[in-house]
Amino acid sequence: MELKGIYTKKEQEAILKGAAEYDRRCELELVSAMPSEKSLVLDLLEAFERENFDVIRSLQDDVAMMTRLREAFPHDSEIRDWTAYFIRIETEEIKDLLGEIKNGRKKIANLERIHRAGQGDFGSGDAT
Amino acid sequence: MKEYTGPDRVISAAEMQLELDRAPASIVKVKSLLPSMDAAIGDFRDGELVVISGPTKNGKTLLAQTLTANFVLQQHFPLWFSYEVPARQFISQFTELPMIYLPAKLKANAMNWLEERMIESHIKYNTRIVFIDHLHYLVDMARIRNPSIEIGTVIRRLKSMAVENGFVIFLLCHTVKGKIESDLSFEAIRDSSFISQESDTVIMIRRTPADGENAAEMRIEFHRRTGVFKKLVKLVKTNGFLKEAAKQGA
Repeated sequence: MELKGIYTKKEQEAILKGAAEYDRRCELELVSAMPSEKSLVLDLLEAFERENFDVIRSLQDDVAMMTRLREAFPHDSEIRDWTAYFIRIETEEIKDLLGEIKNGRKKIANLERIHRAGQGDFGSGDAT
Repeated sequence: MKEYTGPDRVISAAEMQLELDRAPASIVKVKSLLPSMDAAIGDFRDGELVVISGPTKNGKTLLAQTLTANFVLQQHFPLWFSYEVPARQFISQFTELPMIYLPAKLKANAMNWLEERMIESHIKYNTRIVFIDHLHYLVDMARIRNPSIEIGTVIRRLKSMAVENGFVIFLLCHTVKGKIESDLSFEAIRDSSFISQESDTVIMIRRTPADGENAAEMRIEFHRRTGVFKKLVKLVKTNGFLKEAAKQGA
């Protein structure tokens, strides 16, 4: 790039130096904004945990709803059987999700341990 | 007054019976799954305050946890206030994590807080069974002048909460040291007079090493609804919970 006309040679050099510094900083920002392999996996695991938690909460709401239904129709055997069935299914699902969260946390702890030890190949599946 | 029709009007027993027939008899009817106890008292029902007492380290919390696990099997999911045992330890005592609820943080000597959490849990999860381990965390013993009267007030309030909200409240209490050695009686409960006056059932428990390392006995001191009095049930700890011991010769 050649600057001509109104700038002195010294000013031209200063402008070019400034532009180069700007480009360098932009590049650094871009690199730091890109997720590392480690944080990508961690982000994913944490997102799974959040999602599983949300589902657990919603299942707990459903169980509460079923117990309310059971209370509202104490003499209706069909409602009693159906609510019992759904509560059983939902409580089992809560247990499964809880297991998934615990496994996810183990994976996260492993990833962090590996990262701290400086063995950071996070795409290799070591954490499973 | 002749024209008075308010909700608290005086009515005849016949009219009252018709009113009661229209309302569901009870919202909660849950069994202990300990056969002799169920045979004696039938079930636990909403509006009841059940006191569990016995000497320290003799199985009060274990009995409460056994009942919890058995209620969960019947799809009734209790709310727990475990003051005595830290949450981590309390949860780890269950072989399989049951679907129960507990406050994220506990606050002692705070009846209003306790009531708010019970209502919160009921609104969120429709919990109707509440375990409180134990009574003396609800009363600031260091500050009160007359423990018996203060404890009486707490017990009366718990009973009112149970009746007004349709809860079954299980309250664990300590016994007076040394009083339980000879007889497993509710009179050994600390501040016993008020506790027994206001509660619907008192269950005493203690270990019986003479019957075996894991043996215990539970006595239903009284049960107001059924009139059961001093009913003894032999128990044994198996797989982390109490079960009724097989009767000799059975």
